[in-house]
Amino acid sequence: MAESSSFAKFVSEKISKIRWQPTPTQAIRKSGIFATGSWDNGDDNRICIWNIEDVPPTEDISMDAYMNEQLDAEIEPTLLCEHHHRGDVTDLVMLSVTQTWEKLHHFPVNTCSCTGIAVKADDTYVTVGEDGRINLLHPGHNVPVRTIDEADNCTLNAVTFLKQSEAATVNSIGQLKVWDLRQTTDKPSQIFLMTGERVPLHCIDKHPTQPHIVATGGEDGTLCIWDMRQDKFPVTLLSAHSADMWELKFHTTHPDNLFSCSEDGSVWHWDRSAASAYSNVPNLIAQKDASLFGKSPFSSSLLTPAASKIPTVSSPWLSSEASKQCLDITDLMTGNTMPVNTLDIVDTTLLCGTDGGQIYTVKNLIIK
Amino acid sequence: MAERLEPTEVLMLTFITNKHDYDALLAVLHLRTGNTQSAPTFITNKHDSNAWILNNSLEIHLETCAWLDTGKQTKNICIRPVQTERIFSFVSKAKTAFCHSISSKTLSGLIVHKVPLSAKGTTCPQQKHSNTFLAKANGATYQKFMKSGTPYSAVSLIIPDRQCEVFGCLSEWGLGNQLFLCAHAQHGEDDRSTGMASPFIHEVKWDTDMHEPTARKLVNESLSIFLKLQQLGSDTSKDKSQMVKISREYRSVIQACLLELQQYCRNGKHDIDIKPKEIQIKLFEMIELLWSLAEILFVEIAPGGLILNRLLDWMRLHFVEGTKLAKEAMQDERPDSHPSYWPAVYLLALHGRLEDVRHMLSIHSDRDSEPMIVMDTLLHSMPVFGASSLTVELVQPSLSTTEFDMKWQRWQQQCQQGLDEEVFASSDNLEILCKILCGEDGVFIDLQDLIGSWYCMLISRLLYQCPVIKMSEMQYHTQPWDLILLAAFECDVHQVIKDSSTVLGNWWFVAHLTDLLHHCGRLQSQSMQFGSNLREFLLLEYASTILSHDSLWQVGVYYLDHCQNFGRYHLEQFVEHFPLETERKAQKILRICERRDMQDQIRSICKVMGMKALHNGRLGSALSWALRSKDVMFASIVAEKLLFEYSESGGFSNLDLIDNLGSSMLICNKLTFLGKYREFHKLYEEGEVKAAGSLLLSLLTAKVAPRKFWPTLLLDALPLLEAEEVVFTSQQTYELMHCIEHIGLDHRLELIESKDKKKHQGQPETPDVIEMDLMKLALARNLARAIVCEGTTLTS
Repeated sequence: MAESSSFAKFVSEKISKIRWQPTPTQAIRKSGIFATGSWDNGDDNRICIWNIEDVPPTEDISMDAYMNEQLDAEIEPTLLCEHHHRGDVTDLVMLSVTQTWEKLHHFPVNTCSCTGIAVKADDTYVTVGEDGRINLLHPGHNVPVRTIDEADNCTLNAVTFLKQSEAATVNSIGQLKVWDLRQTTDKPSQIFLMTGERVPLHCIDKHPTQPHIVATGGEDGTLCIWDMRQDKFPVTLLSAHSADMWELKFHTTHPDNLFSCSEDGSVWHWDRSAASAYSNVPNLIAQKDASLFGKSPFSSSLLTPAASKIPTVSSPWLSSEASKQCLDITDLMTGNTMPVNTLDIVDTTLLCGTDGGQIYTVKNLIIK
Repeated sequence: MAERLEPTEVLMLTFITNKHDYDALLAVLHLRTGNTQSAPTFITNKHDSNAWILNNSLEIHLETCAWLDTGKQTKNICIRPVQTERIFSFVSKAKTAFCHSISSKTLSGLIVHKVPLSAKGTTCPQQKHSNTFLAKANGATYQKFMKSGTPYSAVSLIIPDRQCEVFGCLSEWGLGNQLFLCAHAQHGEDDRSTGMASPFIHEVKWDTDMHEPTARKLVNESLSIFLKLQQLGSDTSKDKSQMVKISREYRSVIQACLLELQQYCRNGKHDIDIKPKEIQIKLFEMIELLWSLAEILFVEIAPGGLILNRLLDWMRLHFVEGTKLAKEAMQDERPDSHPSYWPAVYLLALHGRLEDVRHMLSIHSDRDSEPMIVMDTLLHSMPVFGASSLTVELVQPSLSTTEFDMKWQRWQQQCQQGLDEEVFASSDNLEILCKILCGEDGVFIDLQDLIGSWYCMLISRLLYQCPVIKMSEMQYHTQPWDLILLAAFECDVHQVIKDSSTVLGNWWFVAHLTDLLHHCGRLQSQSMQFGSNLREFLLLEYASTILSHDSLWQVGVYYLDHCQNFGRYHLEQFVEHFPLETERKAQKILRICERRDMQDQIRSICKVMGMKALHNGRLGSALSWALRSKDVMFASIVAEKLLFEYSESGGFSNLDLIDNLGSSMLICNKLTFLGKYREFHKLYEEGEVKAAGSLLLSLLTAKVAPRKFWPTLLLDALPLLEAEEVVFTSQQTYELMHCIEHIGLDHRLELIESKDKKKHQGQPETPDVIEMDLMKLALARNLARAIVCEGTTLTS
């Protein structure tokens, strides 16, 4: 596989969100289209749609020449269209619906910023805001289908769907709450919290295949992995970035890979694939031990059931201290000083946006 | 130009009140958080919710202020006439304090000038900031001369205020690109409060050319180069190659910007769009030209100080007229009869591109004639010293200067000989060419128009008259033309920087170049009159323009980090004045402060955010901000609000936060009480009555609970006293009785004190006698039960 290469495109505004166009599952090639949103640009922020198509569609050059060119040329995103937006863009989701909801989040007199949106099955949206409110929206309805007014005492910073009707939110005092949207009570169905100091949590993402595993990142740059099935507290705490972690993403098809970006200008690739290989190792050791110690079939049969439990229980993300050394971490943005606000990954291409007005494209990542 | 008066005006107040009084600060912060749209409602809203904040200690009454929107362009703070004078004098006093505090340390352009009524029409340009901003107050008109690009363009701005017309203007520098104006009549030198004339304060803000979209890329991109250079440190000043690399990186960034602008102009359709871009292109081209010359002369100093080849390269890259003419001629069917043919030949020769000249001559129809052949040999045999990076000519590395000089003399003698023997008599053109080669003064003067600028002339003459020119000898060959280039050729680094900052509208060029030269060790640290050195001064200026931009401010912070003397001071000022629209932005600014350990600023930002949350009725958020900055006062205010809410509604809100306070509840008494009181409720709900009882008692006896809450606490004890099992021991019951006596005593004292006042106000407040009696009864019964109980346990 070719070396991963990164390329920076400077745009004239600070990027707050970046998103790939979602690809239909049956598509073979990923689309080269992505969207960016800017923030803190006075009253004139923009949402832009870009194309980073690998193959220049119009040029008619021989394959050899093209190959050479592609090796050398850094492919630059081209702007397809833009839309002006008054406030800061806080979150971005690509949908096929055109609809505007006004004043979803509000304080008694002042305006309030909406901080996050999550989408389930293209027809259910959930928004959260600084007013601690949760809105449930359906396309076609002009008013929220449901509003939980006092959902949180503090600012809700991000939201994600866990299951069809279950959403998880993180707030600015280090709490992770799970909401069952079918229930009529305005109480969360589960509350998880950080131990000790109330570290604000900025972002949340769930494991693409195991919805009970949720990762969050917060103000102190620590990565927390939570198991929705058991503890009140995070299962794993991995101290990571030296400043706020603004966004994190599991790789959709290779969930052993996680990406996070931070205020300190770094983007990390967390690779747990070694650990998932490792999690089978104790099994082998256990069996080996068994065969060493007990020559009788009795002892070995005693050990196997216990050992065989491991793979069913643990995803590499939940496994304990022992496998921490199996975590490979790569910094994908050495030498960058400006805060990285957002990232998105599809396939082997990572996009991130910074406060320095750069869109970074990291191509050919090694995803195991 | 005149733009929204964002909370800035009030920010000024924040700054001062900061020092004086906490309560007033809160009041002011309250204003700061309002953005212009929501401000009016926000003001009317404040009475009920925040009456407690206003202690009148500084006699700022918020109701005397109102926001007024006077059209699209300007938004003003309007202070109602009744209280105007007092408030205004306060503001203005405060502003002077602010002004002094800065100008005593730096000279970065904070000045005050007054325009008296009598001086209408006359100018008072008392400016110190000559190169960015020339201000003229002229009655109601404020004229601003901004220098964008080379031409001075004057922008005049009408302040929409009749008062200014009548009284004249008072102006004061704000932070960065900001100016405050108000109508002001002058009475005495230092008598501002009485001279107040208008209830309006206007804010004038302006953008520099560094705020254009393309230039913003330049700003962002150059930051990383700048930081890289800072990391290299000044110890590596010997390492020239590094510096050259950095310099080239800067240049490539400029070139990238140029390319983009040119592309834009090619694709652009409307003249209105293109015009400003063309000005920018000119500006960037000039910057590039200057930078590359500076690179040759100051950064990449050739061995032995021989710089001619580099200068030739520079000329070839930036002045392409010769190539253009040659192309024109060559495209003709008969190139030698084309009017551009000979000019092209001369120009190429003047630029030292002799190979190209030979190529041109070789297609001449008379190429086989005698004079042509002689000329060709002459051109071919010209000695070249060292290698130019562009032309692939034979390198003679071993040649020493003297050897080369001898060779050169011999060659030029040959040329002279040809001229004297009238070999070229048949062709005027060849004769001129030969004269060029001989370096005859007259021919250069004849060709003046062709050569164009004086610096090209200078280099061409150097080439043929004094090829072994050394760096140090350059200054003897210049003549007074273009100031900056002249200064550069005279090797006067300081003059270059000074002139550039006068001519160029932005600080980008001078700041970065100075910094680079500083790292190259080319800059003698010249201390300026205000105490910092030139590099720092320019960096501060550049950073200030960046920091006054809505979006670029984050970049400016990094520059301030590298200003040792005043960087931090500037940063402190700026950080407190960033508008905080969202929590995310606040978080980012906080992070900047935390990294630099700026405790005061952290406190101030958290307080602003906390107050904002408080006004939005978000007590939980407010408390979390208070805890974050460990702000005792603010935390107790929020805690009090929460307690008040409890006593009103009988239930706690914000349980998520209160239940998880942990050790941070110890920050202030009220919060400790709140946390513990909530704990009591929780224990009670869970049926842990014994633990609940002793907690309640300890809240009372340890004097954690505020006095006015005692009755409530005692009432909470009532169900415990009446519980089936005995909760309080006899000893504990005695203590409770003690408390009840205290309440009674307090109440009586209060009555005596307020007797006189209350007389006029009718009935004195009746104490809840029944409740207290009930309480006493319950206590007595509990005491009896406890004694019995204790007696039986002892005996059994």
